[in-house]
Amino acid sequence: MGIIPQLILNSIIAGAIYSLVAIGFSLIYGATKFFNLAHGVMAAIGGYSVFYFAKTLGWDLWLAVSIGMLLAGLIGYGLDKIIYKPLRKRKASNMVLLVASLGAFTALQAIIAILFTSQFQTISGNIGAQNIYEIFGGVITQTQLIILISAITIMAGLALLLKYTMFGKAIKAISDDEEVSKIVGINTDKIIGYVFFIGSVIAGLAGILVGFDTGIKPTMGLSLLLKGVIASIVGGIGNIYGGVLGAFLLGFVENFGIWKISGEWKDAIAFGLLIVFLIFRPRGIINN
Amino acid sequence: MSQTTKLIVGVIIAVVVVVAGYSVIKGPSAPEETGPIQIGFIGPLTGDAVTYGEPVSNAIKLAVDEVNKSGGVNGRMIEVIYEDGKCSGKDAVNAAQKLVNVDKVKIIISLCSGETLSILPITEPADVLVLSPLASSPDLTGAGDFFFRNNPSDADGGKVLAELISKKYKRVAIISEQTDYAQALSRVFVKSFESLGGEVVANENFAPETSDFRSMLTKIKEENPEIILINPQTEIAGGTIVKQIKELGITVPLYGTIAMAGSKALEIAGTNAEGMLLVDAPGLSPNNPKAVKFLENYKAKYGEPTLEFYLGAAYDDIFILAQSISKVGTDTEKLRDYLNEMINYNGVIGTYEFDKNGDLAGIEYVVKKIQDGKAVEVK
Amino acid sequence: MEYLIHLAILFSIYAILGISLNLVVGYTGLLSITHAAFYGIGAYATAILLTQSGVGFLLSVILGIILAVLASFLIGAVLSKFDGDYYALGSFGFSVIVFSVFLNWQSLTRGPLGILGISKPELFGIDFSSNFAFLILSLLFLIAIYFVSKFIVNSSFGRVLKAIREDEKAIQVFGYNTLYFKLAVFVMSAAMAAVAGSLFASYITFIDTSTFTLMESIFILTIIILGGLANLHGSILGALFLILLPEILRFVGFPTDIAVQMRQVVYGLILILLMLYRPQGLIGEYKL
Repeated sequence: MGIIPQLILNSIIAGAIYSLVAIGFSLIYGATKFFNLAHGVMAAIGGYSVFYFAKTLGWDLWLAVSIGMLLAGLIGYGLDKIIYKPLRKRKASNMVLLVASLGAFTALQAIIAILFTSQFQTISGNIGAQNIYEIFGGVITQTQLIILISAITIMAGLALLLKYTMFGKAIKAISDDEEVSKIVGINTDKIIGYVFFIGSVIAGLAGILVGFDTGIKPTMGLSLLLKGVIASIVGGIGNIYGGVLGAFLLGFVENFGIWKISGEWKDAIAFGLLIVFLIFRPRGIINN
Repeated sequence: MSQTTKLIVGVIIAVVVVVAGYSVIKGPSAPEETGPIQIGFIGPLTGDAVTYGEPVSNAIKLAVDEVNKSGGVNGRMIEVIYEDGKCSGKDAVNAAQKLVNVDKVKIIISLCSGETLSILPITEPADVLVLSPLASSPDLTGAGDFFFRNNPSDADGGKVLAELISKKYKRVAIISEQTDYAQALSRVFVKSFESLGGEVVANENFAPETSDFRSMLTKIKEENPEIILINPQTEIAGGTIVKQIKELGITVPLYGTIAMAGSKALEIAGTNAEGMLLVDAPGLSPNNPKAVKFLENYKAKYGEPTLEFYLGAAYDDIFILAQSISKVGTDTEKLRDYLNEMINYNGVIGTYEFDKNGDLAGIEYVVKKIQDGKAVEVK
Repeated sequence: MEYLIHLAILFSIYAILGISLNLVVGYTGLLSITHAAFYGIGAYATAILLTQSGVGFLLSVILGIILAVLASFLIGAVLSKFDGDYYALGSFGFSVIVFSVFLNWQSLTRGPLGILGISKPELFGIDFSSNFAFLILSLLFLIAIYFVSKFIVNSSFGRVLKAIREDEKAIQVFGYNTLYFKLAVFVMSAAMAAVAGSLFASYITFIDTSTFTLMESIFILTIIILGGLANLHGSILGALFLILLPEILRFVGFPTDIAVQMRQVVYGLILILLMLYRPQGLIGEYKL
């Protein structure tokens, strides 16, 4: 056995983080059909809010986490209102939206760096004194366990939301066909706004959790985003179950790849996976 | 006018504005022997390496203030022009181009190895003197006629580590960042260690900005090394690695390289770093009154100092320059000769001189141990 | 004066990059974010040959072009199967993979250590080590590439490219093998980017991986979107503007530690504003 249980655990933890990013990204893509590259920054916003409110201002940790998630959601919502909605009204092509989101991503990331310096920061207070649990021959820290539980909870919650509420059904309708949804009377702009909010809140949470696990820096959004994108596409874009599946697959491929190949090629392996899927199964594992 | 013509005119106006702006802001160049002595600075003022760049530039500011307060050099004040090199060759070249061609400085202090290596092809033909308190790449030995550094070369650091470790252990694992400094050190270490009869059972490399080392560490654990040598360039990575090593339940002794002595690295690693041994430039000796005073002044102005050696070396650089200029003037050929012949300079970092290659002679790496969250010298 | 020459040389290198990318993005409508990869291949080819062997500059440029052609052939063959957003994401992925190769194939590229001591070109007995002479050299290359590109876009080949951009399915009906055309223009643009890379390597005399990142590809994209897609003059204009921008910002006098981030904020805002209000850029003929 030896190394395998630990690798499996590592993969699951990585997968859990990626899935939080992928869920939001997939949700947004499903509703709007474009790749919102600014999604990554929402994670950074979440992480930095907690840093600011909890560490710098000294407020209660849970309050800071809530504010972080809320702030991420609001900014995501704001981006939609100010930039994406006007573009959608003008029937702008997906590429325009992608480039605009790229601009938003670059600008927001730089603003965070200006406000907080581009240095790495930690947001957990319990350095070096974490609880460690042993599972099946591998170890996992308390923070990682929290990540895992949060991811599962959110996935479950979101799944229920989408399946059993009117809101969820409206989102599905918009994903299937925006025009028809409008005709049927669904206020697509409002729903899409909520989708951005929810997706960004989840991404904010991802950033906060990563912050607790390792730490935050302004550029954290990019790598999380890229992994989230890979996970979404590999799993099946526009489908949150797909995003989750893709995320865990990515986690496994990355960590076992490190074992068999080498740590330095981790990013290339991740993108190799993307390309393989783009060639052979562009719709992802779960065909939509 | 057509669209295109309007735009072309606009562009020409922009270019004219830029050129005019430069001449206005630069003003008539100060006549040679009066006016402030301008020294250029190229270092990482942004980016990951700002953990080096910022404190070092503070040390320089401190030194310059002190020199100027006591009347400057031969009555002339020292003025430093700071440029951001981002610890990247490309940005350093841009900065050097500006400093040498626009600001017309004849002396530059440059920090990172990557920065220094890339600017030498510009500074050497222009007879520009370059000093570095930080650059440690072995490639810099003898790289320039006008280049001097008061920081030991990695070639030494790697060897010292290898000798130290091979005394007790035969099977080691090393994990290094993929950056110039760490890779150079890694190569030197592996070569020396293997030539001393040791075996490197695992040699992992990680890209900068990596934050999840667990699978690499798991792989290392599998190989059962007797110790793990942590060789990052960024303190963050180093601290995180130590943390994750302990989280994975790996209990072998840990060794580290210079970055591990940084306050950020130790902050992140927390108590997990206790007992780690590392090879570092010597700390500033409490027996050296200059050092004590320097640390006091630095602390008063900028807070708790970190990576004291580099701060001290940078501080020394300004004073070395002040001393040299006061003796032989600002002609860089004369300055170069002076520095080559200088012996027993009593600085904050110790007593030293420059060898024939411009490298530091007289101060060696020492072994330190992490105790109570601080790096303490071990005899 | 020397400094202006330095800026002018950088301008010509980026103008070449802009023109070549415009062929793919502006004229053919393919959002490629992997241009820095070929820029890097050209740079490394010249760097390695000039430092390790007695090969002269021109020969290294040719070899750089050949390598870039080979790489772009492989990458392009895969990419040309995608369209729209998937093309962009796939190219994203290749950018990261090629970057990983630059970083990790240390025996060839020396990875993060970079390659130093690259000599200035010596052609036909003329030594180009003075900056002024180098400027003439790079301007000559720029002019050559400009005319080649002009020829391409005004030819019947160019018309097919524009047709692909407007409606790929339609032109396929007419019997055109669009795959071949997309691949061909991609390869040509890669070859030109390699030339820019060779010039860059020889001018700065030191290269490392930090120049050939994803951000660089995004920067080149910004140049052509700003200047105007499907307009060669636009690419030149865009390059000029974005080279001058940091210098103009210098006058605004941001403290050095945030100057870099402010620039990024400005780039991001430029992209957003362009997409919102002027998607065809300054003098472009094609809106994304």
